[in-house]
Amino acid sequence: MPKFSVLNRDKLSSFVEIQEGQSLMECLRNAGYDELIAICGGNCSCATCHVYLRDIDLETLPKKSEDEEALLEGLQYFSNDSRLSCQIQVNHLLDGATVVIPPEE
Amino acid sequence: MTFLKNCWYIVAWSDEIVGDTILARRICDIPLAVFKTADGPKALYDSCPHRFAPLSMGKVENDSIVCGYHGLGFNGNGACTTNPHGPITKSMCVKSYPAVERHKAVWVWLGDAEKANPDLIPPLDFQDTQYEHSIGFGYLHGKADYKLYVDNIMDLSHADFLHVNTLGGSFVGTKQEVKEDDATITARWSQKNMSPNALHISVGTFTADAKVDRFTEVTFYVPCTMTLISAFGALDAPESEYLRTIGSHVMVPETATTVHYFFSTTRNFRQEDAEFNKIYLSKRDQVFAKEDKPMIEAVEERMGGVDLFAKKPLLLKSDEAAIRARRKIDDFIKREQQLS
Repeated sequence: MPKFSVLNRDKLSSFVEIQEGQSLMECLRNAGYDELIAICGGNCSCATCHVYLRDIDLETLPKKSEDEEALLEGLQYFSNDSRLSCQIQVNHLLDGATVVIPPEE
Repeated sequence: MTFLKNCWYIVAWSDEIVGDTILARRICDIPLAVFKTADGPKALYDSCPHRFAPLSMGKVENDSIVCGYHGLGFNGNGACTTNPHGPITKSMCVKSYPAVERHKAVWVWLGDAEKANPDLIPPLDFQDTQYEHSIGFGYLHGKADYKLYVDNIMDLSHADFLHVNTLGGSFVGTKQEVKEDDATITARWSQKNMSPNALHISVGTFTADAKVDRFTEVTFYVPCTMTLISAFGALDAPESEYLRTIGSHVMVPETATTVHYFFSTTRNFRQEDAEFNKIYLSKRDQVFAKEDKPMIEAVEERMGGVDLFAKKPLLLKSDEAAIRARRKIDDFIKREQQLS
């Protein structure tokens, strides 16, 4: 079964199985990662579903929109591997990836 | 709309029910008749089981309500105590709800009576102050979903725009710290080295060209009670020395689209100054009635009774505390429904 791992704020790692048809934000919240607050529910307007994507070739993912880029750049913990998880669809591309939940803003 | 039932709701400020008053007030779509007895406040379903006249149109006699239509009487437990037309049987009763008087308010419990533990009443103990001129209670009837009224307190960034000449000027751009535990959410905005706002200046300790440190803190108790601390002091002074107001904002649902807004304000300065209290409270009442209420009611009108999340709002980071409060309300209601 394809899966990715999640490193939460307490630095605990666990695996999440890949089930297509939802965004990474929805997938993480459904898996119980409430620390990902995701206020706006996927409208790309609040930047509270910020994650770092590691162990994956970021070039293979759909590019950031201007809106996503603008929201990310306003974050204190912005990094090169930052993405808004509501803008990433869960699929096989995430197999083996590590999703890191950044520190609280 | 589904309301949370296993919780305490304020039905009235204590001073609304004096002597033989019977208060008629609808909460969560349930009409209540509330009155006081030697054994404390009592709340009955406000409809006589005989021909459904509102019991609140009757009168209090010997700790019972006597119906104004045909004279049947019911005590605080809902049992029939007088029947001018014949014998009293056990089936002659009206539903009663647990009621408690605490912190100068009368609270009712609409759910499972066995779970009605008064220890679950939110801690509004600041309302027990002995300084009569340092406190003021208020009430507004609002024509909107109670959750829109909750949102209004949980996201105080609106103060910079809606209350620009009184309370505003310092929320936007200030980091909102949000903390959450099982039953509460706390949001705090802290600012250092700020110009005092109009309200601060009116207190008289700081002039318009002074600088102050300040914080505002809101704590939310599921589903609709909030406390709000607004505190300010000299630069770098310890918070224990701040001048502060502490108040309650309690948004009790009447129906899906109307709300009873109970509010109070207490303070730790000029506590015996009756004149200051009068001016201060009248400013507060003005802000709530002339600024908050019209805006929230206009929002309700534009939303057309559709739930906020179903409307797919453009939510921002500043909505965090309000959205977490709404999610918590939804969680509690869901859990209550699963249990029943």
